[in-house]
Amino acid sequence: MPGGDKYDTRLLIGGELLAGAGTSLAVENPYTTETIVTVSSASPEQVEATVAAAREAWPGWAQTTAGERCELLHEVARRLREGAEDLARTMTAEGGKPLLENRDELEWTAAAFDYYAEIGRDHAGRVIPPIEATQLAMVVKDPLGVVGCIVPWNYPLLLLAWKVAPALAAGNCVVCKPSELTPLSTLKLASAFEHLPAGVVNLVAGAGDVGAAIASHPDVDCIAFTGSVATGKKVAAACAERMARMNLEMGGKDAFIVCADVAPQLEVAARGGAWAAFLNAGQVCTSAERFYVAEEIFDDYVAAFVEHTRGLVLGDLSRSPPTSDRWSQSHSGPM
Amino acid sequence: MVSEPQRANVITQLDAARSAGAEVLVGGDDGGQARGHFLSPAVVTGAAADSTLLTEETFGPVAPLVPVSSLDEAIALANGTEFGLSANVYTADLENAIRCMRELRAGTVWINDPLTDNDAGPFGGFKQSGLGREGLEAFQETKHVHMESKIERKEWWYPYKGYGARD
Repeated sequence: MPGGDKYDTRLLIGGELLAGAGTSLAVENPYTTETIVTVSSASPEQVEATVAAAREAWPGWAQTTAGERCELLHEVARRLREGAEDLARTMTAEGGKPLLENRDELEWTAAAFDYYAEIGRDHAGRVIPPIEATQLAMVVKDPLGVVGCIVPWNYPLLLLAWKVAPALAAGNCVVCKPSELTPLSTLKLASAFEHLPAGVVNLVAGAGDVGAAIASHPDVDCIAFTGSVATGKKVAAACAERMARMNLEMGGKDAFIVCADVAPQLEVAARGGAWAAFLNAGQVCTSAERFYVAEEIFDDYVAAFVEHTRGLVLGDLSRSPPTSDRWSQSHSGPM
Repeated sequence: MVSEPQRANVITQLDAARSAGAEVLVGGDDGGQARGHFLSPAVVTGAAADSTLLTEETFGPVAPLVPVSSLDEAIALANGTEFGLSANVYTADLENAIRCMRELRAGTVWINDPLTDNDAGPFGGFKQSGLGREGLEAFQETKHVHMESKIERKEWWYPYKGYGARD
């Protein structure tokens, strides 16, 4: 996968890289607070063209065998790993997440494509008992068609992969829209999908207006959305209007319970709590946001939590700590 | 943090909690950074139960710690929200673990290993935290197919037996 420090601001529409013709988005580096580059959104006409390209590509893609899709998705994973460092640095520049965490995210992103490559050729439905012995009765799984994938800025590529990988494995075409805060890493994915038929994967940039145009488009069969509860409700309403399928992953106020019996390992529970609360600066949909701690151990837990927190280091996001290999082999991690 | 509005929202919640009596034991400032949207990790005690810090999504580096007198109370408080994405529990007691597993109303329950994801596990939320679960089936339609190998008339078709007609 070609890399380099240059940011590609073009949209991927029907296999072609095109400059956006819509409103301009200034992408800020949250660390330097300077504008990295300006990206032009998809215009309403380009959203139309994108959905049309996905729709046109779909019959052919749906006819590919699960085995063929398996190989093509493994190739996506291979290209993602090849371009991982460039993509991780891009995510740090546009989203402010430390490079170490973005390297992890790239590995999990690639792993999701490998996982669904195999899962996709293992599931096509099931055989059920027929009414008569001369019959065959089945539950068959069909693709939906065109899936709109709308994702936020906190894990731009992982959250996209969790939608795109299963959607493609199931025989759907996708229209992807990253957050207007973090479009650069997603637009860089074009070369990771270059080996797929044109129109199977489309990448557009834009803010809420582009998301709304995708969510309400009659030719988009399903919206897979991760983001805020408020926006998710709007997406649900747009989908309900035409009975489009929807998969909504929204926010939380997740609890973290510490039981009294943990007393002998209080420090571990405090470090685990700090990680759950502060990972990616608490900008994780599953961040721990409320701690309920048994009163018998409360004071000690607070003391251990505060002491550990005092030791955390803020600063240069692109620094590579010597322990950066620690999680590189992990296929699991936070969301 | 990713942007100034995101940071400002967290500070608003922290300030509101503080004016209602909460104590910020550490963090909650710019961490001495000269630039960037930094917010140093904050640990908070004494937040009022109805403060936004304990009721609305914060999406920032803040850990409000609340003492509870029993696991019953912890589970009731954990479930006392319109959200239900995930929950974490630390315990070595099997009874506590199984109770939390069964009673917490959340799409993922992590016991003694916070925020560890698994591609093979469904991801999604209870209540207003979402609809559906990610995975292959989220992107498939389900079709029932019924196939008969012999093409022949069925005895339960028209005409009904005993209602006359030919044959």
